[in-house]
Amino acid sequence: MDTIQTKITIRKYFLIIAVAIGVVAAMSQLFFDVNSEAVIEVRKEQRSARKDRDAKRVMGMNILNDIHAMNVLPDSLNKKVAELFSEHQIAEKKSEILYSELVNLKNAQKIRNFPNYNSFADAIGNPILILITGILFILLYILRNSIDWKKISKAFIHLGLMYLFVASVYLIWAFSNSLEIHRAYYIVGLIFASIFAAFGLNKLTRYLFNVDFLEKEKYKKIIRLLFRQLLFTIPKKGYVKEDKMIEFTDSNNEVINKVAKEID
Amino acid sequence: MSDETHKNLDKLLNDELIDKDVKKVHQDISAKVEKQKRKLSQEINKRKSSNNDEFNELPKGLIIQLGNFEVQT
Repeated sequence: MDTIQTKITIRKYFLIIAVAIGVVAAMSQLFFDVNSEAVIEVRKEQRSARKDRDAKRVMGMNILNDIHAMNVLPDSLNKKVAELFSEHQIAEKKSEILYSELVNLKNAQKIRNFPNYNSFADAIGNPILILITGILFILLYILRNSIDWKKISKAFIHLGLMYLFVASVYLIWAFSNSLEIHRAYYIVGLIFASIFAAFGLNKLTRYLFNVDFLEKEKYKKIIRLLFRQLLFTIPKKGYVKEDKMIEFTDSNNEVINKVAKEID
Repeated sequence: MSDETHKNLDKLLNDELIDKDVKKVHQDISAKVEKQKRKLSQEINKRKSSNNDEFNELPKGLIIQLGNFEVQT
């Protein structure tokens, strides 16, 4: 009894810990800031230094232009200074125009608050998978009394492998040295996950929504009615003579054995 | 009811092909029928034994014709 109780307790705690880890892991992003205080501070300083640098650069170019205007340099150097100033003006203008274009383009490609479709798809992909899984579990709960769990569990191995595959791709990406993993890994992962999902859902839907499943219930009911007539109503109501009762019962036993053999 | 039939009856019940009360009634009837069979069997054996005794008491050397069959005591 102690061993059984211990096993039950271990399983209970295992389940609780597994669910807790899953939920915490899914929400763990909330516990960490995007940037630490130190990063924010240094970034602020860097931006300030960069602004200062750019201002000094413009000032430098203006001073060069003034020196050029004073005409105190040798001709060749004066010419170079003039060219440099002109090129700098052109480059600055171009940079401003391109920056403006970039901002407009980025805004145009935004999907809700996400910078682009890639980020949006990244954010929404896994929650959709979790949502579908949730709906599936609720459906299984609603149909729990009519489900042959042994048969339906054949779908679980494929779905389990699909989840393992998807999770492995993400975990490898998270722990890999580079920010992006080769597109080939994504495609291979997608292919395998799709294959397993197809097998799993095929078995699941075939069982849950198959006409055979509903028809089977109907035929079971019909057989129960027939057996009731044969084994219950006929003998109870005395439709069989007493001297024929032995033969009748033996014949019924034969039917029982034959039916049992058929359903094997 | 044989063991095999008992087992098959349980199988039908587990597969929801018969109801519990139907199984019970059939088992009760089968039990009654078994009792009847045993009684009949005893009676048959008794009569057989009695017939054999009677036959053995008949004088020897007699030929008895029963239809196409001839029996000698």
